[in-house]
Amino acid sequence: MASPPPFDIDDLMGHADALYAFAMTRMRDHHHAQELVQDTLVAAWKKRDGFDGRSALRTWLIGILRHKILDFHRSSARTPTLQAASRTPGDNPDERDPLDLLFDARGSWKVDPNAGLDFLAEAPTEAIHRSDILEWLRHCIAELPARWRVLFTARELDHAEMAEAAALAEVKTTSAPVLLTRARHQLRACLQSFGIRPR
Amino acid sequence: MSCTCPTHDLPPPPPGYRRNQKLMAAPMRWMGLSCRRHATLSALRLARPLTALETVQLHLHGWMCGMCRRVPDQFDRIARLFQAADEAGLLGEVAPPDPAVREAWRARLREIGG
Repeated sequence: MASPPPFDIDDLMGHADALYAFAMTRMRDHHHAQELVQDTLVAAWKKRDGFDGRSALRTWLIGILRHKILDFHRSSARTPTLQAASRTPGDNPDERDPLDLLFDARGSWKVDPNAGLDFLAEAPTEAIHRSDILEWLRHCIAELPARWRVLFTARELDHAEMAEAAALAEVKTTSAPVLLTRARHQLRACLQSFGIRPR
Repeated sequence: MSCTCPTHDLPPPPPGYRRNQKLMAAPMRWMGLSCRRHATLSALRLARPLTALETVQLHLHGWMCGMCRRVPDQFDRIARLFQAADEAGLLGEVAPPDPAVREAWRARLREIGG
């Protein structure tokens, strides 16, 4: 007797909003995000017999979507998230080094680097369920310049190799570590600002 | 920075640090041991392996400067926070897709059937 399918359409649709949110972290164009989510749902539905239940359904779906997003970025003809960005580092005013605002000319802190970051002491798996912290994370990553965001998500969240992450962000592999460093500093300053003055 | 996180919101460092920096900032900078250099290396080490010199600079400054000591750990924790939120599918925008879009997805799945 054939075993029943491991999930039905309603089960899949129960994860649709989370998939859409995941896609929107990586691309600003919501049309492309919608398209990729649909592709993911369709692929999952077609391959449902291959789902062995060893991981949670959402984890499995996010794995599929993650690959589809990387494929999307790899396609050189379709890089809408980056088309508006400057191709030359430094030309884009959004990509100024955040360290210039945090340090004076002697290289000393202009701000207290430890203020407002007490929330980092919480376990990450618990902190992400605090609505305020989750809102800060969403805001801060959304505010990154497009190339920094693609670099950060590809490298830090999707664990892509540096060369691949650099190609996705359309930057030189040699300058990618510097841009990633700036992205991390901007995220840190953004979170610190929220930590000091929650809003 | 495009981020709506104006650094003027952030408090200045304690007076003791500022007094210390008046004396020490120039020689520390000359030795490649400024606080800015330490902050750069703290984040850079997550992007690529540091050279031997960079590693020495990072640890030496962290040993000498109490103000900067926690910065590398802050970057580690921030990265883990983003990873945890992402793995839980919580990092995206709050607004769900339009109901019509959801309905189109559902219709597409029904179309494939099963």
